[in-house]
Amino acid sequence: MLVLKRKVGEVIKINDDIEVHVLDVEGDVIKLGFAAPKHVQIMRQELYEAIRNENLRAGTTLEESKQWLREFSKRMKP
Amino acid sequence: MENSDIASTVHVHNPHYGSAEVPVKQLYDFPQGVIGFSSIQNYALISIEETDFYVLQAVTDSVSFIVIPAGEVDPTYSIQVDDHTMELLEADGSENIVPFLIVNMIEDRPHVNLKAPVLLSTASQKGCQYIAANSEYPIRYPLLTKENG
Repeated sequence: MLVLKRKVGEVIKINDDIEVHVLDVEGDVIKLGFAAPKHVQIMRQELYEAIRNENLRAGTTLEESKQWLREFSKRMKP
Repeated sequence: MENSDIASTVHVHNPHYGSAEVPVKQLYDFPQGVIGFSSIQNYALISIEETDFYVLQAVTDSVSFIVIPAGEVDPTYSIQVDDHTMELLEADGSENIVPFLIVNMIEDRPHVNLKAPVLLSTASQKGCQYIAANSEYPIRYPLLTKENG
């Protein structure tokens, strides 16, 4: 892993089109700004992991029956 | 063309729902897979009879998801889809993209993921999972029934 030290107001460049700005530091909290093309998805790792875990659970543990879904869908109808 | 349509089905098997012959029109190519299942790129969308639910079943794998059109859960459901995703889905306009929500059973109660819907482009038969990172939608939203809702 590449390790760089930066001060507030300084920038890290990734390729030609991605910039990471160090905006502020308060205690152990760092505020970062990202400038990148739209197709680059930037998000907290926790969000990505939460969605991944939700998918893994949904995609592999289909114990509920078709019948149950049918009943449930009927109940959802007004 | 009618004859070729009839012949154009693909056999898929789900350990929970059994086998089905699925018309090729119901197959979707996921170039990026689904998050956590990136190696699986071919899914079939199979409606579950008499319900609003569908099974999104991997064609050559046992992985499957129960999904429901987002509009059935929340008629006002709306997310901003970026240009890159539109290109990935080969969709001309957002009206050709149908968002489906993945259903997850949490302690025997059904929940849907409003934050990361599966987007299906019906015309191009492309799909992807889209993370609405800047939306307020939750990952776990309880599907309420009339009785307890």
